[in-house]
Amino acid sequence: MRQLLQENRGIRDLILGIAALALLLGAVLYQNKRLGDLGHRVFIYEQRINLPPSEVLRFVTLGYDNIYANWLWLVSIQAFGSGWRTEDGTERPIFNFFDTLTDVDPHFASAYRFGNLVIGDQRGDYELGQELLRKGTLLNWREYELPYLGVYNALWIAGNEAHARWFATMLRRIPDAPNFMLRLEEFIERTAGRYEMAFEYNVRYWLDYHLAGNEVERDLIEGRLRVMLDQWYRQELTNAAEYYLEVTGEHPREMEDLLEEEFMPAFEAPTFSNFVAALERREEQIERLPARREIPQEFINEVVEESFEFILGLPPCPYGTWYMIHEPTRDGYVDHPELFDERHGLPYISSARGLLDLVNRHNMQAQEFILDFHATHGRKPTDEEISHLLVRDPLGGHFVYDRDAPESPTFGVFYSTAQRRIMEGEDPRMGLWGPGPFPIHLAPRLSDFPEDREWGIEQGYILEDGTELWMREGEAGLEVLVQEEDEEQE
Amino acid sequence: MAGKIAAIALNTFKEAVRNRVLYVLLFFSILIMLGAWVASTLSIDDETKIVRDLGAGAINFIALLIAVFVGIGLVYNDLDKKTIYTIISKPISRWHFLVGKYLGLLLTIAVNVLFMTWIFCTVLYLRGYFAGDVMFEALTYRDEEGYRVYRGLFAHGWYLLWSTIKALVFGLLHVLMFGMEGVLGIEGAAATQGLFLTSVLTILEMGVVTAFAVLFSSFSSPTLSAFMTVIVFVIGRLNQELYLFADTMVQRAGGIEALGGGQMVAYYFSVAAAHLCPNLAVFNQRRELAEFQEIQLGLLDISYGIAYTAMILAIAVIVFNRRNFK
Repeated sequence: MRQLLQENRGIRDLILGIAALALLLGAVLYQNKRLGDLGHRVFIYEQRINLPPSEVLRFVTLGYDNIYANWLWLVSIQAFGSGWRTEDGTERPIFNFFDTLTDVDPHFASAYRFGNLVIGDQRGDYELGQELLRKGTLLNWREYELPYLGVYNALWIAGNEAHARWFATMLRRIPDAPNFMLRLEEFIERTAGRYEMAFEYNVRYWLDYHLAGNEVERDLIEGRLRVMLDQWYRQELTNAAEYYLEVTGEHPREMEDLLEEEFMPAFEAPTFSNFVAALERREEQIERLPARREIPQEFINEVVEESFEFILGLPPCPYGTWYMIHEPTRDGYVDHPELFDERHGLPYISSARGLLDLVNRHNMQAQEFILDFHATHGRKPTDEEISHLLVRDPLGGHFVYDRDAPESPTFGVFYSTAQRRIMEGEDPRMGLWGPGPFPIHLAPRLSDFPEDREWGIEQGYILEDGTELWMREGEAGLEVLVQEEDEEQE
Repeated sequence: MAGKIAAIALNTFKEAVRNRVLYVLLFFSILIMLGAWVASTLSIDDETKIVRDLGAGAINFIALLIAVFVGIGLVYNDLDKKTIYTIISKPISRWHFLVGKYLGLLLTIAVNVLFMTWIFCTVLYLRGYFAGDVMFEALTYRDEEGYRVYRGLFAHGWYLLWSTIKALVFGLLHVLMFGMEGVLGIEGAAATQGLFLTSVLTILEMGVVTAFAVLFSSFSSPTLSAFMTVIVFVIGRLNQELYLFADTMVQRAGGIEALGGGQMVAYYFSVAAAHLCPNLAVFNQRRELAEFQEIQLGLLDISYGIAYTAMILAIAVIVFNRRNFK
């Protein structure tokens, strides 16, 4: 045997190879046992976030600092996923980690965003999150997402307008920032109720887009101006109504109640028609303005000043309709104010345009429900199944589902009786489709038309003593129609 | 003269190519690049940044290792094995020998850097191809939930092979067309933007480092040469920080006069080192590469690199001319 091995080198190598493989297999099995003993532990990152100062790190990485920053970045993601725990329970060590990471690579935009997510959003330390975003904004002048995130946090999470303004100002200096981000300054002022400033911004935007030949954005600004003026006027009317409540002890029933000077003094504000007129007067001057250059502030001031006037009495609704007190909403609000959103003033101060929007929105929701229902069940819903949508509408009628309408491709027709009457000219009070005149007093009620009155009694909206209810008791408690929201999506 | 230098350079290149260390380093560079791909999948954002950072860093680092570890033995080996006698007995000047050796090693580094660039481009292209192309469409079908599924294991293997070949070809085009393969309308070429120029900058940087390696190799042992070359590299990479360190020291003390004895030495050493050692930071644009910014191949930077290299080689020639080979 020994001789055979000595003479035959191939066999000898083969045996050696097999022995080596066997040893390796043994080592792997041993290692497998050890690893198995570890089980599936949940590793929580603790005390691994205390990094040396960034100056030292930059020194020792010898120009490969980017690679080290990437390593820290991957560590931070793993740490986040494993429930990042700090020694003292505060967010400061995590902030220091991201601070060091972004010192090593100041242009690592994702690190600023992620740091803010961990510290600000997940752990709730808004200030530290914002500090990281501020640093990122200052060091990355082309990165518009960081200041945008700063505005978002400041405005929607912390409600800190001063912080939001700072980020919005920085955002304006970034040439590649999308238009909607550049308009955030106006949004901040509008939501803060500083309508004069918001109006001035809008005038500037309108002129900018007009000179740049961007008609789409220019039209958008016109819409924005209407929204802004609408909010402004509603706020004035709300102030008057609140004062009325303070003096008389009850909410006003009709718009006439508010129009006395005691409650509704004259106020100075721009009107949409004045703005259009001011622009028309300067048509030639505008065309001579240099495109792509800063529009002179004096010119903007002139347009702004000419748009303002003293408004005495009812403000002109910028949508061409009239403001009104919607009685059914008022009654509902008096009984159940918790069901209403008061972000843009008292909910019962409405306009014909607003009511129509409300009806249209309800119609669309119902159509979506019917289509989904048909897709799921293969048939149209019964009155019972769609009953939660068959409520009264704010125009004085009620919603009907005509499932047998033959011409409809959407499995029947869902409509409001009041809206149909208006469209067919049977109810001249609203005049929504024409130029008006619109009545100041507008209290659409179910009892105005027999078909609605019968339905109202049957459904429990009209009580025996003739009292009309805006809401009824449903399975899910009090039912209330989707509220009017004029704030456009940013 | 040029012929003699070229002959020595070519021989040096052939000798370096036979060095197994080179292949180990190249193997590791490929591992790092593939590792960068894997590491990028752990990220939740900026995956391409991570791949480009790690890949370009790996090319630079491996080139540095080649420059140091092959460069330090360049002259010493000929002295140690006495082959220098057979060379200088021929009508070849000592400076021909030294410059030839330097250029041979630089050629080795350049070829290796370009090879690694090719492999790195292949990795970048391959990442993009896994998003799918016409072949992917043909080899897969949509399942009931709308996901793409391969038509069997063979189809999967074939697509992998097809993608790799395609990526290798386009990666090679990147190197051969000086990083301008995008003009051919190749899909995914944007991912390799700026890589070729970054590699050129790496070759320039290594040109300076190699010159130091040759200088030290001409009068000292390989270990000492390696140590001194690495020291020069470290100072070269950090000379801006060194200068700032010296400046901060003075500001904190309130003037140079206020510095203590030890501090004074540290200050003058830092200032002198920052001025005398090459500024290698001018060749580092890997951050710009990772962020898809334009890579600037400045004429002043190139001239600086070449002039500095020429100066070090001149010193090396002077030292080598005075050296006694006995």
